[in-house]
Amino acid sequence: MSGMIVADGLLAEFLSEATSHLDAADRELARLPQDGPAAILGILRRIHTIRGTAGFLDLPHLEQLQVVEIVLDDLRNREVLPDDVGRRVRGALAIARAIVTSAERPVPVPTRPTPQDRSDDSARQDGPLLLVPGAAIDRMAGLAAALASPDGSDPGLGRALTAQLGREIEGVRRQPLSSAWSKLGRLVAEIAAATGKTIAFDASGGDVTLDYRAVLLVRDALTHLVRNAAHHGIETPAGRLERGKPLAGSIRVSAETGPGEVVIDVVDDGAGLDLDAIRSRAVTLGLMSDEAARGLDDARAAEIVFAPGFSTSDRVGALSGLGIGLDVVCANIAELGGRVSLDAMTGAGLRIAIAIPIRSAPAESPRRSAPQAAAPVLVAARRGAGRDTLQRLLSTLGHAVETADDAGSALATALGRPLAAIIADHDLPDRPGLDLARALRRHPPTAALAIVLLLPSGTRVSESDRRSLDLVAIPHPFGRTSLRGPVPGRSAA
Amino acid sequence: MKQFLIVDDSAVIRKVARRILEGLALQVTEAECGEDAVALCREAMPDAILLDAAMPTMDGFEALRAVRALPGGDAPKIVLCTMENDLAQRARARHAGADDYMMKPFDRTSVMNKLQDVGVI
Repeated sequence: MSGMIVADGLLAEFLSEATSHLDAADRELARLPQDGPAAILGILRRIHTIRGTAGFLDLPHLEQLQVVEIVLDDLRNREVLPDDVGRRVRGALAIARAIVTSAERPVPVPTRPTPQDRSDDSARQDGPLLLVPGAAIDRMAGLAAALASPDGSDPGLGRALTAQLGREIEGVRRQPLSSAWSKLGRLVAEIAAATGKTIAFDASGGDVTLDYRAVLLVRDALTHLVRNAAHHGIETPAGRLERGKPLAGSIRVSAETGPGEVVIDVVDDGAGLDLDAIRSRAVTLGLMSDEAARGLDDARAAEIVFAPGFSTSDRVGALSGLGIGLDVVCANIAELGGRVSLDAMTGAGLRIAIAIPIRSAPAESPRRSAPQAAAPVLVAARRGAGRDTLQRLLSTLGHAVETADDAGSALATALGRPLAAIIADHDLPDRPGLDLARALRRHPPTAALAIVLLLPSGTRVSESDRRSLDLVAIPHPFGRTSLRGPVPGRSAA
Repeated sequence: MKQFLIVDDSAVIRKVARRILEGLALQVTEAECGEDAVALCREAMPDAILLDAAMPTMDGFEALRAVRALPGGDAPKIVLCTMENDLAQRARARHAGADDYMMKPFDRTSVMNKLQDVGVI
């Protein structure tokens, strides 16, 4: 496409078309309160059209509009539009306008980094979530122009320019985590005022960056967690006095970059989780048998709060330390390939750690970052020789293996940690393996987990179940060959 | 000289397409919406149409059906242009009576190839 040149007034015409599309998008924005997702779709179409036309003019940096499209598409596909949807869409449109406007100016080639590289933090605090610094767009446009010039056809130089462009794009996509919690201080203050509590909120590590889509998901997750901690975790001053704690409760959010992942901690010094209440609630809700619930160690019991249907159930207020939205947290983080772990210190508070893998820049390396330690295969079967044999077989095939005695504990384990696959005996003590498979599919963290169902002789699974649950059913007795195929088949990521 | 109709709501895209087609010694008329395209076809049926799929009021699919329903409407070679590269969209285009389907953005080479495919040049 390098033969296509911006010439004879085409650019001016493009800009006027794009501007009228953006103006129309502004009018759609005004209809957002009534029309909701339909209005967002209208705006999305306008942006899409602008990007499509830009393709004819060889304006590659306008490809950045795709970022705006992704943000809008994500918003309109949500089941419930966020409260601040208007602000978000307005922000996205402002970015779209900035990107389009950048096409007006001729861009110097080559460019060098400028001091305005990093926009200052105060602008980030109140600005829209996704800020694309003008300097970055200029640099990208410069690189694109260099690529389109005769220099760009030199293979070595072309590769270097492309790689640099990839890094710039990645840089634009990376947003500081501080934007994920900039509003949380006020949220905590509001809850404290409404509930008569004193709560100190503190956040650190806001300069750690993640892909903007990750930041959006993390922000929603953190909002749930912090709201939860303020409402249900931190006790009233009287309650704290009674427990010999300082009158002011504390909620701390911190982020740091570890090897291959970013870890975000949410720690409060409130009442923690009432694990006995959680166990009995899980039984009441039919998530597991009484026996299975009693058999769960504290860590596993605490993880049940992430199960959908558990945390969104009614009368959550009756359980100290529990609130709504924990399944949202889990779903958001699972979407990022991350994991959530929970450290309940009964009576002493709660620590929730969110680990999110850092993706390698696509332009630098098409390979995925090196896999973490291989996730284990979970074998859910009654104790006995059969299970032992299976365990040995899997170890021989190079899998780490964990076991669960019944469907309830298998579900709790599967929801709490990443697994390579689950192999479940259909004949489990508390409920059939097929029901376990259904439950796994219902919960976001395990919705895509590879499931192998072992069928004792005489049992069958209907083809429609097999297909709708996307599971591999193999008959007992199994051999090494029957296990080799399906187990590593689907990626649990 | 073959008559070619370009239908797109973007003046920029019409201009780019016109430049390409005139370079191929085709005579070009433009329409900026589906309604105008159908009206022009009713007056004089072109030999080929480059038709944008996504237009605000009458979109490319509707215009396609309307043109095909006109007397002599089965004659022109019609290429539907879209940004979406998916099978469902392709199937829909064929179903509505398109001879072929072309991805945006297009350039001289892709237009030439497509027109050769459908036998216009």
